[in-house]
Amino acid sequence: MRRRELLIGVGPSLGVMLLLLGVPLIYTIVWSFQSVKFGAPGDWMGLGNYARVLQDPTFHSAVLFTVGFAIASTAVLLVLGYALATLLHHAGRGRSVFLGVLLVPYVVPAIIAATAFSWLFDNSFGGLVNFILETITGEQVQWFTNTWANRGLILLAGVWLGAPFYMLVLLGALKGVPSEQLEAAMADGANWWQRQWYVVIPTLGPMFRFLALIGIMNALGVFDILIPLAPNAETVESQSVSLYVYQKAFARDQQDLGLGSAVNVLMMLVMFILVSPFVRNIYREVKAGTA
Amino acid sequence: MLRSHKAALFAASTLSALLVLTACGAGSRTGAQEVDAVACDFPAQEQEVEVNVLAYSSSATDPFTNMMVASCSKDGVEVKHAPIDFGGQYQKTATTLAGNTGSYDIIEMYSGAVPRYASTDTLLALDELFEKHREAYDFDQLSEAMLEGLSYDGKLYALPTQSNVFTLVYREDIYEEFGLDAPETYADVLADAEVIQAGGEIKFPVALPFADGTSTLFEGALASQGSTYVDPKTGEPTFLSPEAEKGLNALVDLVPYMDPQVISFDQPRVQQQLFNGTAAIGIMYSGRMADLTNPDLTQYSDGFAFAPAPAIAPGGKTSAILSVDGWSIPKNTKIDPDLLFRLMAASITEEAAEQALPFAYPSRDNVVTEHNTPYAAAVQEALSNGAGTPPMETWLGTMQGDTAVLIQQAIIGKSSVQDVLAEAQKIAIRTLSGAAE
Repeated sequence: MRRRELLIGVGPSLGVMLLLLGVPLIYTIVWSFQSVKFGAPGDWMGLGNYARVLQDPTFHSAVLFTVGFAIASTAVLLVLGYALATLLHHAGRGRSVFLGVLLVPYVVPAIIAATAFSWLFDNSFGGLVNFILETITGEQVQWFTNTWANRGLILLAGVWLGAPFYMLVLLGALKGVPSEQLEAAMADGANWWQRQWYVVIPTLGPMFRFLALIGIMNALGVFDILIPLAPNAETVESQSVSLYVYQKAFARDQQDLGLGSAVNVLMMLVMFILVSPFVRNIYREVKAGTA
Repeated sequence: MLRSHKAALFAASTLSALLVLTACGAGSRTGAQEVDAVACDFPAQEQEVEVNVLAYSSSATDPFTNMMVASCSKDGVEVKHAPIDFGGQYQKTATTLAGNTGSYDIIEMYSGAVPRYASTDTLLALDELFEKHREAYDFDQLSEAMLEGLSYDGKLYALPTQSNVFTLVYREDIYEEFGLDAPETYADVLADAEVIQAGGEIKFPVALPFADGTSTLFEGALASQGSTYVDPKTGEPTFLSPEAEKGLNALVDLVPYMDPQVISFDQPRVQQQLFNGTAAIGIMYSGRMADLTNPDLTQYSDGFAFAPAPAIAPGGKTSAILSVDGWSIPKNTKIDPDLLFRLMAASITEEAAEQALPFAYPSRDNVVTEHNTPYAAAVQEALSNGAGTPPMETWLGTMQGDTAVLIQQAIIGKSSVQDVLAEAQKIAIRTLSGAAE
């Protein structure tokens, strides 16, 4: 392909990307050093926003929750997605039915799914799970006001919503595992666990790394599901960084766009630190032609 | 991606079943009311004028919005309104008022937001238009308290449509069963709750809206003792005052009689508790009370009675807080303000106000009676007993937002009342100094 054809082909989308990503990014960085209100030019304040954010215990709590959620949800999703994909890979006639059931949360908008999910744990709206748990244990779990119960609820919802994607991708990838290698392993006496550990999982390695990358990036931006699942997110320390930004920049009377921008810049750094090992590996694999 | 139609059908069925399952007990709500158009007089427009209205949807605000759309879309004017929730209105108000041009020509405004927008010169002061049309629209009938609740620095910034007053609702049938009198103070509520809980049928008799009303409950507790967030004499926050401690303690004392997750209850959820019969006493804005008397929504619709929000001490003022809603005109609109004012005024005429009953407590409160509005007496008593708006100051929203989280921590026992108030005092001082800059 000639350079001119490449430019014609790639140029428009590159231009749109620069416009939609580059310009807001530049504004975000500039505003992070300013005091900015809606409709007014910003006032330069140097590192003031960063100092305020880094001294705010609510922000520390939001970062800890967000990073913890990203790591936990990604790990659970990888394991669960792999388990479901493996089950479906070996399923017979019922595969379509199971696939249909598992895809239900994937086709519902996250905010609606999370709201419906929250009602399962809310006595005011039926609270089916509460009813079952109380019948079995005699105890009521304070899903919305106990810090760890609420975090667990958010993790459950995140996993319920994300599992179908992981399962689908890994189900597709499982079809690419060479049957010769599996047969050879069986001939060598490898049991099921050994075949998974020494053949299947290493073969799917690049796909796991890709999914981990996507999972961490998605989870670091967790926001919409918290609206129904954590109505008092700040009080019970289940506030994500995105929700913190929303509260500071949009939801309350401060409407502090500068502070929100500073948090976003800091989160880009956190995201860079968390995903860089995965990006480096994926890049190496692509370069080596193994992905 | 589904492999077969069978799978797709199964997925759809499962989805439906899941939604039905999770919706158990969710109930339904009244939608936007149908209205009969009223007179809306303005000079015929030579060119087509499109008037965009920003107003959140609720059973109390919809009658006025619908009235404007139904009555004033004529003679070259088209009034447009898209449904939106309160959060959406909050954000869109900030963005549409931010620049030289905006997306909306009439904006629904409420007491708490007036100082912020009036002080930044983004809303049109309506005094001249109000005087010009006073006689034609009989504005002398409008409630003085509601006009006051939409004024800032002596100027009127919105034309009041209706008001909400924090009001107490209780199950009269249960009260009669236990021989209790209507509660007048928080101590009464506490004692009544103890009796009802001991009766064994209702585990947590009290439901308060801490998720969206913590600051209003606390402000009400202060107001009941003649106090507010800031001492007007010294200009200092009052979180370390005996009134603040007594007020917060009154709320914390109710904890054993409220659902352990009460801080996650917003007003719809308090309503739901009352609908379900899992609570017998609640405090909410009056605009939510009409739903409780709707037999389609609850089997206990005949059992509810209403009273002013309880006082902190016997003989004290009600802890009711007033919030007034109204129509405002953004300064950046390109449409003639006189035309916009006429549309706004048409939506709050006496005939229009009558149609808003009982969902709203309209600014023409002369149309409200106990027969057409079951909670009328409670609101009227609260207003005559001095229920007013929170301080109409630019720092109010920030103060409310930052201290509400702390108060919630006291409710769930995460921090002591003393620690919460000490921390709130520090935050309040910071908020006031930030507002002064």
